[in-house]
Amino acid sequence: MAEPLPPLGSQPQALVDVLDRLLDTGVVLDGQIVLSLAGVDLVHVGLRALLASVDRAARLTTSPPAPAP
Amino acid sequence: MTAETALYAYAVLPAGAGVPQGAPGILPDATFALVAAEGCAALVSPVPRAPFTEGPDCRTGDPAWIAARAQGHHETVAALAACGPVLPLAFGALFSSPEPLGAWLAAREERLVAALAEVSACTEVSARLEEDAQGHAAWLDAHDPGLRALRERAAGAGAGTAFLLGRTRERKLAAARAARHEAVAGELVTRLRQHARALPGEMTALVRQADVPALCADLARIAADLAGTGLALRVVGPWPAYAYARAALADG
Repeated sequence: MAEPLPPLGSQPQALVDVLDRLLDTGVVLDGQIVLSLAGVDLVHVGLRALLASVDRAARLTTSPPAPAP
Repeated sequence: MTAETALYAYAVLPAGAGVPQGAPGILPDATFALVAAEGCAALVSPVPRAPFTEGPDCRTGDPAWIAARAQGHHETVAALAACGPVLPLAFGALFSSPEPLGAWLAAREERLVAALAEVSACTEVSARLEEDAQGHAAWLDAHDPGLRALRERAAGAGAGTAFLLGRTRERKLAAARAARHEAVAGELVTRLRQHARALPGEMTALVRQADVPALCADLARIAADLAGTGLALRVVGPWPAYAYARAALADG
């Protein structure tokens, strides 16, 4: 922790930290939670499904794979 | 824009900002464009809809694919943030065409411009308090007089009494661990607040870049004090203003 932080954008963050950071941040757009289907203005997102995948990816990044039976 | 394509939106930028050079984008070989409102703009990449939407080619349930997209999203936003103020959009925002995105920007332009001014020359830093349960228990055992007394009494007691004293000690140890974790976390929040422009998350500070060294020095002192006690401080960052962007535009 004595190391100074790197300048923003200069060094890749650990994937698990990136996934953790993206889980619940950023401006949420209208319709991103409630899907806009008829107007297809905001095409998709299924944010809940997407975030579940981010969560799963984060867990896979932190957990070693289970040993083969 | 066709029925097969869409715009992936990364972040809101000030009007007149340029597109990032050398950023990876959301998909390999992504190109960048800006959708502008009067005082701000959004950075986008044209993408095929199929991998993002329901259907046989949908990839949103594939963690490895999602992880690569998340990395591309973050690296692109970080490249933007290295050049100027940025309000990251939530990961996964896909628009059918520039018009609805332009309308979304125009409808809240004043708030977006104000939030961009707030994050100018700032970065986000998070503190993570991590516990080694066994090490923490051992440290408390050695430093908490009440726990030590219970251990000593149990050592000299009969089997039944020792069992009951052991149960009491386990409960007191769990309470002591939680109390110390809470106390250290509270101290961390106090330090973060002293240096922060805003606290958009529980242990996340929006900090002027000029104040980051002082914050890090403060956190380094806390980390040194915690060494060997079973609690460790990890500082994560710097980040674009992800948490601040969510908090500032939380109500639409």
